Amino acid sequence: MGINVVRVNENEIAIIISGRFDFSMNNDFRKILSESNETGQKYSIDMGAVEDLDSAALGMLLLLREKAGGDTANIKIRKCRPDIVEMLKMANFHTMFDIS
Amino acid sequence: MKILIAEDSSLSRSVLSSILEKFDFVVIEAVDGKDAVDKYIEFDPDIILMDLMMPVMNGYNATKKIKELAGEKFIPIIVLTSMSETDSLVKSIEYGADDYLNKPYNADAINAKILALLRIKELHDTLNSNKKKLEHLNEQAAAELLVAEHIYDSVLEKGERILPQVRQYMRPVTNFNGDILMTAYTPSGGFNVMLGDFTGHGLSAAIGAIPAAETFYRMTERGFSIGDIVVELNTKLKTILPSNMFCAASLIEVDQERTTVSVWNGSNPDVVITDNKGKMINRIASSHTALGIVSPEKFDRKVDIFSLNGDEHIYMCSDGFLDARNSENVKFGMSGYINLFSDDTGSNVELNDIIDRLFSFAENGEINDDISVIEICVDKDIDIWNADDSEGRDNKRLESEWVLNLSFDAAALKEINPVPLLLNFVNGINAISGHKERIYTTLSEFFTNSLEHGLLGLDSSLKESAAGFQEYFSQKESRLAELQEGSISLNLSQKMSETGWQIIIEVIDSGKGFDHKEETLTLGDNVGYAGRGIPLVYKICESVEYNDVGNAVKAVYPLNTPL
Repeated sequence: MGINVVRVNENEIAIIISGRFDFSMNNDFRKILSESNETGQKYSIDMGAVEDLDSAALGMLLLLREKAGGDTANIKIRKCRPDIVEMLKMANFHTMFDIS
Repeated sequence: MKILIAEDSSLSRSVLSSILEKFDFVVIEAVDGKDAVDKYIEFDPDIILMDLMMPVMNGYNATKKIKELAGEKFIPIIVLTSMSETDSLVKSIEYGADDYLNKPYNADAINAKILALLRIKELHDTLNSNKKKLEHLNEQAAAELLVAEHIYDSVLEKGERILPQVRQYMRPVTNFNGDILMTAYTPSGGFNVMLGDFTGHGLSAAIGAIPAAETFYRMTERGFSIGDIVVELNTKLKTILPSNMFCAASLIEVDQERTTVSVWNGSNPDVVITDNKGKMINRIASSHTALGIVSPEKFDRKVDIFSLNGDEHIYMCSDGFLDARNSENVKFGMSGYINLFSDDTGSNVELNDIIDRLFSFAENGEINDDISVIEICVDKDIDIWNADDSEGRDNKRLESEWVLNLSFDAAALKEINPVPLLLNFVNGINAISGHKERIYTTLSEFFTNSLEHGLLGLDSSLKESAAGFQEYFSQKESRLAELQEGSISLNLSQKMSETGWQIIIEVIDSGKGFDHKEETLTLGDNVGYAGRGIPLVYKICESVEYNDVGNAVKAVYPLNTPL
């Protein structure tokens, strides 16, 4: 349960999230944002172990996207369970993130 | 550190005092239980040593009394006992004592015990002060939430504006809802409904609700389509809200004749349309980002349009509805929601059934989010002119003749719908309240015909089938985008006639015209051309005349029409 961050290389940060992705992860998530300041940073988010997410989680993803350059952000969201993909699609997030 | 010793034997008192003074304690002496209580009140010691057998008031009662006086504050009391007195030890603990010391006294043991208890006291004091701070913050938050709730309710007028054809079930998870429902008639007698779901439940939702409500009501009243409204809402919310906050929303617009419904769904669960038997005939999934996320340039205003018979029900809900869980932690989910409308029993689902089904599902489970479900009964028999909100308008009608002529070229027609703009202008100079809807309908029908048939050459027979209906609107979109030339003139004037003041509405387009004789239909005979719009205009206006070519139409609307 929680968030783990791994720096893959100079340009890429991997974020692994597990359990319920909701407001309780807000502080951890903000910490990740404040620690990664460089522009042009790539992110890959492993959501394989995410069981559920709420609108606060969507908000965190939007914050990350903004941090990573808004429309030019390079964020991959990976390994989502089908129901999680469905929720992200309902929010139209597949138009803003690279989801699979 | 102040230490209170309650001991009736002066010898014991002085032995204890001398030990404690060696460890730098300030010693206060009491000679019996009552004296101990008095000295406690007077000196507020940090810790108390209490003998049990004392005259006037014994140590048990003194302990009990002091603990009562201390209330939430922790005052450690150590009772002084002999090794053999197990019973009295148990009893003293029952009376509130915290620890005990066996006689005879050992200086280091006494000091160690006192220090240990003082450590516990310090911990207790910190906890207590944190608790007080938290309580204070809680009260403050509750007070501010009340303010937010007040703002929220007054902005939304707490359901007072909800139209009679809309039924709602809204269950907030905190004092007030992060979900908002707004409904309003359009100037033409159609209506708009918006169900919004803000991120968060409290203040953040209230902050977003203020501009959202203002925009929705103002633009609906002025006749803007939900496409225009969502563009404006998105721009406003994008500016105001922080980037992790947004408003999932579904909006529908039903026209005055209850023949079409436009739907815009941004991140809310599917909007469901059922027939008069409660069977689902359409579901409109979210195809847009929630309001307040994407920049205005990237925002997609596209609505889906469906034809109606006039007896359908439309359902909307917020995602809290899908998130309800049963005892096995399984979500109600989209499938649970959609299944509500796939009963083969042929019985009509009502809002109450839907709520019952959800709650029987979530019995022993949990519901963590605001839940809103809306049922809209499209009832073509409800008086469509209810829309008239002549209340609060005391400006008088201008009793003079005026003429307003406006012309729009292809480039302008791509960008704006002049009808609401024009009507607001007219209403501004010349209060036509009470007639606004009828004049709006007439102007709007003429304009739509000129645009869709005169300029874009669309074939209205397409609208006779459901598939064609969609095709019609997508053709309209693409042809309008490609439109290079052509113009539409809108002429409005007010004149005095023998029978009184009248508004003359004239619309001329640059198109080839059409066989307007086909349009002289009766109200009931509503297939074809533009729904029942034009026949309705015949009913509203004193006269409707086309020119021979059929590219110019003129209607006379008498202002002395009974309302």
